[in-house]
Amino acid sequence: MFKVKLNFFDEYKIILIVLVFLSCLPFFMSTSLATEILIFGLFTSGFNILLGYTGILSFGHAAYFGLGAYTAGFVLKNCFGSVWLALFGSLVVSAIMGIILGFLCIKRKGVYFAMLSAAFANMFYFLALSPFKDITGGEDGLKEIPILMLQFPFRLSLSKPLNVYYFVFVLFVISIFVIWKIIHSPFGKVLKGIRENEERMKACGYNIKNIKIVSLVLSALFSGLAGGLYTIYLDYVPLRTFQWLTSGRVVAMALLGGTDTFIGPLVGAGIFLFIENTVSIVTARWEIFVGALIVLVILFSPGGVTGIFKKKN
Amino acid sequence: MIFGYSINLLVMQAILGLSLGAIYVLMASGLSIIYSLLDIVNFAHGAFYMLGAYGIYFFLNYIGNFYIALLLSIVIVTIIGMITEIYLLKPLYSRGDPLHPLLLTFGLSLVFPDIIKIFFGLIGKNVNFPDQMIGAIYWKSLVIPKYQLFIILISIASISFVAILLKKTNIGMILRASTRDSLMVKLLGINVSRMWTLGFMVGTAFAALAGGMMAPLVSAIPDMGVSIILPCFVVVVVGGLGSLEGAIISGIIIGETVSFVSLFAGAYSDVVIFVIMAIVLIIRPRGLLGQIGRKG
Amino acid sequence: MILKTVSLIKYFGGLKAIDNVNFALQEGEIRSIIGPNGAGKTTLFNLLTGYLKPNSGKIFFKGEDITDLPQYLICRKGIVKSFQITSIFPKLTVFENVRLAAQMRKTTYNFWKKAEDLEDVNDRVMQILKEVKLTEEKDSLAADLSYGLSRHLEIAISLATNPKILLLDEPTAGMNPEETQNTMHLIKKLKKDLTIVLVEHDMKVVMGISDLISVLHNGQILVEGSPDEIRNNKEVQRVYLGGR
Repeated sequence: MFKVKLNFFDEYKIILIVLVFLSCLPFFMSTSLATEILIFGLFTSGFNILLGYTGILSFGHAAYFGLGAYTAGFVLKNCFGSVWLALFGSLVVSAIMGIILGFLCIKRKGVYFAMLSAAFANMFYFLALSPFKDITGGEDGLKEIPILMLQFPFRLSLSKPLNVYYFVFVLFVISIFVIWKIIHSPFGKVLKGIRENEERMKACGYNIKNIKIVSLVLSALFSGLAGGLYTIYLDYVPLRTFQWLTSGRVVAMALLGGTDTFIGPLVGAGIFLFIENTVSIVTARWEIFVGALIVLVILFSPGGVTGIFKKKN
Repeated sequence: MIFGYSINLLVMQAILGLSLGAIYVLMASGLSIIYSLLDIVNFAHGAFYMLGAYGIYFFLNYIGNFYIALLLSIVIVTIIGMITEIYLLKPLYSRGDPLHPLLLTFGLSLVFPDIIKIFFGLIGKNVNFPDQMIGAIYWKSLVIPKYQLFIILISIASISFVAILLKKTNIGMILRASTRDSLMVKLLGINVSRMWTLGFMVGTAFAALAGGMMAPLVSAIPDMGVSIILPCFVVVVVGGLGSLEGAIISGIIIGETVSFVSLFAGAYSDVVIFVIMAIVLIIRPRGLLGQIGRKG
Repeated sequence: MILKTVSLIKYFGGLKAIDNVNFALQEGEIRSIIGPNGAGKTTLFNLLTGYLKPNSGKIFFKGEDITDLPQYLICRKGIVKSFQITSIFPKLTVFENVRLAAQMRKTTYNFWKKAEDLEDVNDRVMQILKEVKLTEEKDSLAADLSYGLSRHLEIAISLATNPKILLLDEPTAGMNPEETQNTMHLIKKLKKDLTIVLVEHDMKVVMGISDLISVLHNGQILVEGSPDEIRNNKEVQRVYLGGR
């Protein structure tokens, strides 16, 4: 295997190539799979702000994805199908939940956070299932979302899959660009410092707790946006957006692709969804596949797929 | 009559809550033991619980005796735990990243249920109560369900047994000292690695016992691990990871709360656990007993 | 007086690690704290930086009560420690190690600029690297540094935060004589801008650069004085050479 030392400009070029490739995706595979790759690529990239860059493992990111999805669905149903308002709602609600959960859960040790995040995501699942069934549609999910039409900046029917794909693609590119800026900003460096040596960062005068909360909020924002896009793509909100397995899948995608690189999450999402799509034709037992993938990656290649190519220190 | 419910009903609900609490305590203790020794949060803990339930179902098909089937189930699941620790977890210790074992056990928590689904199908498997434990004890005007009493007594017995073993015997002392960063114990020539395996097996045995005992009540269902692991996390967060007393107190409190909530406000019984957790986090972020665990 | 502790007490379980310590530091001093192992020297440092909180007693920095402040705030006020066991960012370059620390004073929540474009931060980093003689290694990975240079990096990181008081925990531990000399020069050079407190076991270093020495024993300050006074003090000789 040849190892490549990536400097800033190389990374830049690789990302551009990946983006160009992604723009042509519907020509290589079904449009729905392509759209899912974008959506989960965004979800995983958002997730990786927390894991790969800050070093915090969350097992409950389904909370933000699901909240983003349901908020979008709710707004679409009740506010004249306004797509931008729906996505804005997704961002706001996820961010607020990120702040709340951040204040509740971040101050304790990392292992507690892993457990707490899982527990809270599950709480949302149960809330959506039963007590708030009237709003969320319970087990059936949120249905009867009106036929989607983008009004601004130009009219675009979002009932056609290809249109949805390119709508999602544009937002995807913008989001990835923003994440890129964040990673390379002074704040992004601070996150990396925390991941490398948290005690040292604390001793340098950084308010670690607040910084972690901000990192969580940023991560929640992109995860929530991905959820909102998922609703637009599906034209309905399934309960499984809050499920344990949704959190598990994003962890698997991040690990598979590699948490140490920028495109790792994207690569991971792509490969994961592609294989899952293929496996589920053969058998319904694809949870084994997710789980086994995680086990194998951890045992044999913790840096994921991109980790194989990235030069070790 | 209190709140419109008869005393009998309230007492029975309290006993149901206590038996649910006992299961939570078993699970939380198992998780705590594994964490104290190995610095691992075992996300597959619920899966071993599930395997315990399927184990007893499996052995009951061949052996009529409930108790022997339970014992065999615990033995088999503990062996699976041993294999897991030796071949899957141990290679990860030297890497120094605490997230790796955690992620691996998470992966296992997805693998085990699906394997069970392949061999036993998707639908839950019924497990019969042992004959002596059917029905209830009638004392004064109170109704005390026999099986729940059985769960409570067995849980008390096994936790006490292990606790005494850990605190009073030599091997217990060694086990307690064999934490992951115990240079001292290694220098004394003790095979710490074997102690870690032993610790993992004890924790897993607790999970299998809990699962086996719950099987007649809830049936053996492939996804029962998920539904127990999250309340278990809450118990542990509230009581403090690594604290046996914390696990006992918080397990009982949460068990009772769930039991009574399902009586008074059924729709919220799944959610109340997380509400408790949120409240505790806000009021006492360090858990009920202020235990933060070894490294704060 | 830049730093003062009043009746500082710290327990670890049943052990009284710091026993009623009244410590006073003048601005511009180089103070050494010496004492046998387990005397409480590192604990005292940890109390001063806010990493540990005392069971009772108070700490005053320039007259302000900082006893209950969190560690990061105390660091911002100007009390910074370098670690006994080197604590750097191994996978980052030497330059980035120092840059991260230097950035603290400038900005945390800037999401938009490129981190490398913070010119004044970069200038400060180069300045510090020159002082600790790490300019040539600036693009090497921190993990690749020799032991002596990594100790200098350790000090550089602490310096980058612009401290008023620098606490150095065994800065020359494990160094050969040449490295020790270099470090001594460095510390003496730093004195003009800072107040420095050292914990040291190497008596040559202690006697060579200190203005004052405090001797810590069993969590208490046994005696304080100039290097000559301490060298000739019978109590100190007994504590170091005799039994407890």
